[in-house]
Amino acid sequence: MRVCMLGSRSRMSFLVQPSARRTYLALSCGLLLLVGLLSFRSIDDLDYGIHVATGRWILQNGTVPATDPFSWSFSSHRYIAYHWGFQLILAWLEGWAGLWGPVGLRCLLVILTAGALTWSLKARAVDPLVGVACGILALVAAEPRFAMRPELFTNLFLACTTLAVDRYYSGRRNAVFLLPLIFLCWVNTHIYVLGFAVVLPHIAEDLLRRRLSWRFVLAAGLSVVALFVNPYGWDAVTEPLRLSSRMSSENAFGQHITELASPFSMPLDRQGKFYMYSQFGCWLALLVLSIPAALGLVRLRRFADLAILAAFAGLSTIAIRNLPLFAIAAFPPLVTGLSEAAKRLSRPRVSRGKAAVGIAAVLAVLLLRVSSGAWYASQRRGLHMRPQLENAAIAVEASDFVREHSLVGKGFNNLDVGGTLLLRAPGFKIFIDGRNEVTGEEFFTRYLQLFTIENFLAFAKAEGIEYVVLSHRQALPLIKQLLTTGAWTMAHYDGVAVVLVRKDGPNGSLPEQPLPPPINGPEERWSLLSKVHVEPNWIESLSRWLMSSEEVPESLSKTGTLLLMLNQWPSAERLLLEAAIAAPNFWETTNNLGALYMRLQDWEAASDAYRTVLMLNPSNKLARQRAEESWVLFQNSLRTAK
Amino acid sequence: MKRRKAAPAAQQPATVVTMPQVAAQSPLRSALVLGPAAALLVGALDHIWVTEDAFITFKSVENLWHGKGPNFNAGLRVESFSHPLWFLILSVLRVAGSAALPLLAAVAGILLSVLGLVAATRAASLRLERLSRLAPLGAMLVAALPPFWDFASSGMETGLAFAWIGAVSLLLTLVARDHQPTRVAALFWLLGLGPLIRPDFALPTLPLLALALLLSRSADEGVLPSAARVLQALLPSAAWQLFRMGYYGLTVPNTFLAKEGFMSRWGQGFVYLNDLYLMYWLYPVVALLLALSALSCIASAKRCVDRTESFAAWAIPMALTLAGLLHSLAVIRTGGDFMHARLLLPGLFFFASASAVVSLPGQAALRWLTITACSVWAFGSAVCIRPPYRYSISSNGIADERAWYAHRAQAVRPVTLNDYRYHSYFRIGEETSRMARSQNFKAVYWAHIGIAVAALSEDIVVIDPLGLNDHISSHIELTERGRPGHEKIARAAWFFARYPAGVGMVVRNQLDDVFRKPETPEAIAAARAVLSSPQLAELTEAVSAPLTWDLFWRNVRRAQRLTGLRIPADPEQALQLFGSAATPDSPAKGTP
Repeated sequence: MRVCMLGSRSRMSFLVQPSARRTYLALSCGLLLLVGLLSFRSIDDLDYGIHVATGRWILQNGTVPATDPFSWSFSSHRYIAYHWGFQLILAWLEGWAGLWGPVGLRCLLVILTAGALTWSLKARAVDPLVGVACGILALVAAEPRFAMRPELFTNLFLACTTLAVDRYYSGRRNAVFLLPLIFLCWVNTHIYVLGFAVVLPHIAEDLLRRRLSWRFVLAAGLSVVALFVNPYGWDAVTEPLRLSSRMSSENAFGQHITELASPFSMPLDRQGKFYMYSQFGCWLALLVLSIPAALGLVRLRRFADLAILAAFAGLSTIAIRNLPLFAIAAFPPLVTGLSEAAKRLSRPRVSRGKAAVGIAAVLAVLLLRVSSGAWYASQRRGLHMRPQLENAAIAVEASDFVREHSLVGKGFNNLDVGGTLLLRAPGFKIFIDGRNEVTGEEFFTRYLQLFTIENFLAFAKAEGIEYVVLSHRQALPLIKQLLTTGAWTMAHYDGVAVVLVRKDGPNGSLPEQPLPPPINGPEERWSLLSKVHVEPNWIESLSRWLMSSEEVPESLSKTGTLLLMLNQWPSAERLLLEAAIAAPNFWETTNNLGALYMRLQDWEAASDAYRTVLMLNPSNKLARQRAEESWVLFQNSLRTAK
Repeated sequence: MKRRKAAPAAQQPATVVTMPQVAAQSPLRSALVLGPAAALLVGALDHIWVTEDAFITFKSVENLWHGKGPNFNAGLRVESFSHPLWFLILSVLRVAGSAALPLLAAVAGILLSVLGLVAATRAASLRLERLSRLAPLGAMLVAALPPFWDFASSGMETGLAFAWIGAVSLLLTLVARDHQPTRVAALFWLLGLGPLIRPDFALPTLPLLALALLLSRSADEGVLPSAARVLQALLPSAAWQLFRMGYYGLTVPNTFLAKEGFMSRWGQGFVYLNDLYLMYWLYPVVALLLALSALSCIASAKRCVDRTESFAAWAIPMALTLAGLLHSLAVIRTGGDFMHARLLLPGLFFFASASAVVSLPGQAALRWLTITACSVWAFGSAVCIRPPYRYSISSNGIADERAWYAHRAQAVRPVTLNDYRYHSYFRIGEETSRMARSQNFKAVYWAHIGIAVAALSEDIVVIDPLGLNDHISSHIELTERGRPGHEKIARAAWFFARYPAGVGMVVRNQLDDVFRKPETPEAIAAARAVLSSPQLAELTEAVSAPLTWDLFWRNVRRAQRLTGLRIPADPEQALQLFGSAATPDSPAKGTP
């Protein structure tokens, strides 16, 4: 009954005044609202299509797949869809309610996770202010991983496991019998192993203290039994253990998949997709706060919590994908330890009222930023608060092109576009997608070798490849080289991917997609350049940071950049100019425009573009160097002309 | 009104105090005064800039320092600025060097603006020190309105105007409290400087002067001390007016003539007013602030024991409000300006000074409603609301000058000439300078005489078709109303009449429509003939003949007449009106 006693004491100290209770309730509601807003957003997950396609397949066939049904290249590989439950629900919801279904499901799962954690904190009777403050940090740190993936279920079940255990220790002894049900659902939706990482430390602690109850043992035993209730039996139970070997850096996946990299190894620039300053900062803050929290837990003699905190903190330093696990599983122990540590502060420097006002202000700012879209825009994430597929992030248009033009023959695609092809062009067999557990290391290694032109041409000849769908983020050099051979036609291009068809093949009659018309001389160029209105002042930047409605012009900008890289400069100019005018404060587009003008040797325009970049990003050394260089070249060209 | 008995100045001790001396100096009160000023400082520093027009004044300052008089072009006595006091301050600041002047002007403007707001807020908090629940709502109006950030600097006189209003408000309040003779004297000197900030400040000075007389007067003193104070107040303006008439030969600044400040244009004036007041929701905000101010004054007056005290409590805010109203009306009458908000800001600052600090309603619900409404407005104004025509000119001819110049200069905070080096005006100036040197031009006809002229070499005469720096263009008759401040555009014939082709060069620009039609030799000859007519010769002599005492006094005598002189825009029509004293081919005498 240790926690119950502790809980009673804590409740007395923290929630004695009704006005304080109302404040904490309001703050908690604000936090839950923020959770809802952050989870209700468009879909930009590359693997979303894989899950929907598998779910559809299960719905159609009334069983789970045993081998891969979608590819022509690894169709004989064993496919253990251990998250088949998630896929089934997703496909059913998508068929029933369109994109509202999956997006609503994500929103619901994330809110339920947050709700379970809040309930858990209530059971622990921690300091509510510490809870809300840490909740904000945890939410921001975990938010990038609110992807449309089965780990949403893992997050929920992790929180539910914690809740069941906490309820058990707070006196609701039968709550522990929820564990078998949780593990039954878990094994059929995602990787269940982490649940035991929460349960086992408690069992161990109770065992060491010689107070292990038969209820807890029985519930844990039933949970193990429940694991075998799945369509794959033993295989589904062991599959997660097999996959865990792929976290190591020696593994082919570990070396090429960003989410398996450590947060500390990410470059400190804006190029990394998973690298976001606020999120990284919040995770780091949680990590630092774990130290006083650990001291608090030692003082409370809560060694199981201490072990959970240490284990999940360690996991989060290994791979980016583990950040939400730390934010969820370690959250209750962290808040418990910090609450204890805060109580021990003899003279708090900030009163509770002021702290509540500060937390409320942070929440208000976050709510404003998220609801206005400024949160995503400032991090250059093309996400929107509406149920839609992000065409600028996943290869929707290219996949639609494949389907609409009924491309014939074997197609080659890179990993980024495989899932979307499955979603949007269901009848077409793919080469590869994001199911690394199905393709295997050997296939993946061979796939990586195909990105040199010699290897690819030999492979295409041997396999009879008639068309390729490639994302230019991953495969731009190969696209350029293929176009240089003259044997391929660029039948489609967009901001994400291109579709090339073999000229001499059955799809060879498809025409090239027309390029945008070039700019009509200097007059139109300068007229358009003068419309790039940036707002670089502090207050305008603050306004943009707080509540900008300016959307990232991803589609235009990425297509323009593709054409620039493919040396289609006059056509690239129009797209880049349009993107820069539509969203002038995203300096990246104007920077590319500067690069374009450097290539066109229009020094005055290049100088103009780079100076615009410098107004928004004065620390950009390269832009400064090029602005000065192009200005000198412009002055020289004037002198030469005279 | 019950007046106090006056004590001899020497014996007037602190006991004469009629309002409580002890102001609560709590940190909250300090924050009340300094908070909005700090916010204004941040906004003003963020939006620091120097406008094209300020460079026109800098050019005159430069000429003054080089012994060529307070003129734009050497040898041509034209008052190309309308802010003599600011001109004098700039002339002092020039001691730090020509290159530093724009930055110093901008910084001085910001400091003066912030000090003005501090003074106004301090004055209001002193007036209401008997009340509780004070909030700096009026001061917040200034701190949260972006045009105040823009024109705190800008290199123009606006910052000085804010400082003047704040200082007058503070001195009026202090004089009402303690009647110190030095403060009384300072107040009247300060009031006398009003018209030197801008001529349109003469009007709002009147109610303030009247109130100052009432507050400074003792019960047993005669008319003479008051008359002496009035004379004291009139002295600075009168001295400059005499100088203006004798030196420049006009009763008003040349810029006033160029913009036809005598003519009324109410319609455009209200467009200008709405451009500011509607955009930032200022009608309800100003009304709310003035209402709160009135309620606060009434509450404060009720708590006063002495009637003088009671009178001062409501009369000072009222005089400030009246001054703001008069100034705004004066601006509206002339049709406003082309710079978004600029000329209306002093009027708004008067209103803000009257209500810089107010006492919030006693009812909690009403109080929180007021605070919420004002906070939402302040946030919206500071962060969200911006003119929709930020980078162009609106259909009404109004422009967000700072945004436009910063955009075109590709500088976040364009202050110095170096910051403007990528601006097209500057680049045209450099190119013109090169051409003038290589082709031996002596004069340039060019409508943007700020940045571009700073890039030109000093020996080139620059004539502004809009008349800001030219005695002929400014006297051209205004036939059609257009964009405020850009209405009189003198045809190139008037320029070529003085500087024939080969000597003078016309630079085409945004006034292309006017210059597109080439000037015929007949028109140029007619203009030349007109310039040699007795009336125009007299005008030319007044501004370009070597200045002697005799000429000075002659100018004083004829200033009124010369100010009223108008020349038809078409040289041939002008020839019919004025006739000629010389053959059309001979150049006009006295023209530089």
